[in-house]
Amino acid sequence: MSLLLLGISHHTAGLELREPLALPEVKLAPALRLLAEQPGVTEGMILSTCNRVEVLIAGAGEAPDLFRFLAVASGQPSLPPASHFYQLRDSEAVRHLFRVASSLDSLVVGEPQILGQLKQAYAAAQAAGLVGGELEAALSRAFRAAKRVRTETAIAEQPVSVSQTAVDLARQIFGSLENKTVLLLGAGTMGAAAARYLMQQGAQRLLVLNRTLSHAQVLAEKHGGTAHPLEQLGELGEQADVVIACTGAPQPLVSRADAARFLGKRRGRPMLFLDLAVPRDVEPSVHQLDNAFVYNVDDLDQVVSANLEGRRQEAARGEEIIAAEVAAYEQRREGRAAIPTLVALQAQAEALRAAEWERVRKRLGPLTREQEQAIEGLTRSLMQKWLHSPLVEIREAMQNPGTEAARRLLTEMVHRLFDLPAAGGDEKEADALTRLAHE
Amino acid sequence: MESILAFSLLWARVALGLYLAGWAAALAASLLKDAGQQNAIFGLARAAVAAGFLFQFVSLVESVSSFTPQADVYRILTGLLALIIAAFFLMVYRAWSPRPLSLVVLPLICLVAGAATLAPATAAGGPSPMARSLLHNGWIFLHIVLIFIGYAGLVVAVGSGLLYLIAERGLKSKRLRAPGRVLPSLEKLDLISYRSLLVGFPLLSAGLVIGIYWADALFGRVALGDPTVLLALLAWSIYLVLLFARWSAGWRGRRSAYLTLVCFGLAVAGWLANGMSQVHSMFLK
Repeated sequence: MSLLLLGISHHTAGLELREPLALPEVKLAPALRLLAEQPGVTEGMILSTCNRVEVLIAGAGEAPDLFRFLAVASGQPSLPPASHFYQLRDSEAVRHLFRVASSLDSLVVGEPQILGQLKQAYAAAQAAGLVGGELEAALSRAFRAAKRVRTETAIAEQPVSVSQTAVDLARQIFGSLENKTVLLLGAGTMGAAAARYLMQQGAQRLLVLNRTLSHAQVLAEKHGGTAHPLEQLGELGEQADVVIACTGAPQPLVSRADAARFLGKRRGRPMLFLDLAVPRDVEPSVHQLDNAFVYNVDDLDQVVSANLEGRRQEAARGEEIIAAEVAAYEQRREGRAAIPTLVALQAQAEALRAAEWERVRKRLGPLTREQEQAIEGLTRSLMQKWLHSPLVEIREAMQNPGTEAARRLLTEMVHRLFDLPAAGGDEKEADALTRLAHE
Repeated sequence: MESILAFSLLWARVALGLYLAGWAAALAASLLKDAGQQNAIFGLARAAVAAGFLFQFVSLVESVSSFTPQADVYRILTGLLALIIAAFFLMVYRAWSPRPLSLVVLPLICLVAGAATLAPATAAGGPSPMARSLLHNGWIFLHIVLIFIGYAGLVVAVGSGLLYLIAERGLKSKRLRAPGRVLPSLEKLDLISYRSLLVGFPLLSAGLVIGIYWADALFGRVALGDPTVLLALLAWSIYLVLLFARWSAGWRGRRSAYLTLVCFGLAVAGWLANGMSQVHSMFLK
């Protein structure tokens, strides 16, 4: 049994190449059905996000042509050149899967969405009946690795977007956003996004001020705020805990004197100004006032890029965790690889013993219950004692075989030596045996 | 008698050890990444401080119950101060769990608790008969306890104020790795500072009034030129300005933190000046 992964991502191809291959929810179920029909595929899943399309399968024998599958599934007669894809096997595929789950492979390293997307993809594959022991083992370890990377490194701690930074700054000043009022100056997209995020994170009131009132009304309605003409800034300013400025005004709208007046009326309760406008809407000298904090576009960009750098550093620690997790997974998997052989060996011994006992029993005449149990016990313990050493040796040898080929050779040798059913013959049966052994 | 005194000193040392352990645990926990471990170790730190408080209390009860001419009043009073600050801190912690605050306040508690284990050589004969009789006077005791609670409020306020200054500086300088992310928010720090001052102020005032009243009754005059009295009154007036400026002019945050620092400095100076004070030094000799 082996894993095979074919993928295309933001690392290898631009959006215009990835876009036609995407398999959104509506296309996913038919694609999974198609995947199940591919020869040699026993398990499989498809991960399709804005940044990547990946097909992961577990199967035996000849690997199916996943390129062709992807072309058919996405309805694209011609795929981008193969150089835009990556094809990974076994431990390389697992390592990649772990990195994807941990968001180390993401465009914004440490972003939290990918894990959820992976879980959805896994659930869809499960619903399609395409998940067996192999994928289950790989994915559960991937989720575990992702959790470790998240908790043991600071990879996701620092905000990496302007909106996140706005919320982060507001939290540093106010603690909770509860009962806080956000004043949005202007109807620019960046400002609106930041205001929306602040509201989502628990801010209570939103005041939207705009030169064109109708634009303000549209925004205010969308986010549950109130709309006001720009002229009301003087009256409303003092109510704002967070001011997001994003107008196209050529002159600053909030002067130092304005801000000082607001702060005075607020009895010194702090104000956070996020000035996303160029040219600036808030006079820079406002920052020098006590309890006023002004962050402009450059300041925010600097925070964001520094945090991205910080994430990259944390990512190096994440990679170490991934390496350890892949090693642990490999070891388990190799241990698992020996299980069908060991189970078969034990089953064969037990069958032999039972048959012999059945044969002799008739010749022994009537026996008491105790006598029967004694003979059963004797034969069983003889078998077990004799098998003990081979079982231990085989397990150990198969856990450290060096290469996949060596393991296959070893398995075959054991099977021939003990006249077991052909090695790796029936994957489904082996799988069932594996589960039996786990239970 | 001797053995009880020795025990009281032993318990005071155990208390100091526990405060130190609490501080070390809080430091260690702050360096951890894993939130679960951090919670567990901060819990331990808090438990250590609470246990330290209990031992300090036992130590005080023993030394007071065995109060003799040999008893070291200085040690008792310092122990009492440590006890009250620890209690105040535990209550603040219970209300707001401002973890980083423990990194600032616990060393101060350790310092005072440490002083309580280092008794200066007691003069032969112990405190004067007058001092002894005064310590048995409930009003004088109340004077001391109330002023100490005022001090405890100041200690917490100044710790919180220091953290405020650090966090505010980080936000103003727009430093990329702002310390604000590990500190409580500015508003919370300001609130802790303010509430502590608010609790401490009336008690400190009452303590001062009682002290002045008794000084008048005992000595027939109020020794305003006495360094301890002078510094205490100065600290009290800054305390008053601090609260008043907040109510009237909205002075909070940075200015408030600086004033708290001044106030704290005066209070510490007043405490250290006890030795030079005509009115108070009798307890120490």
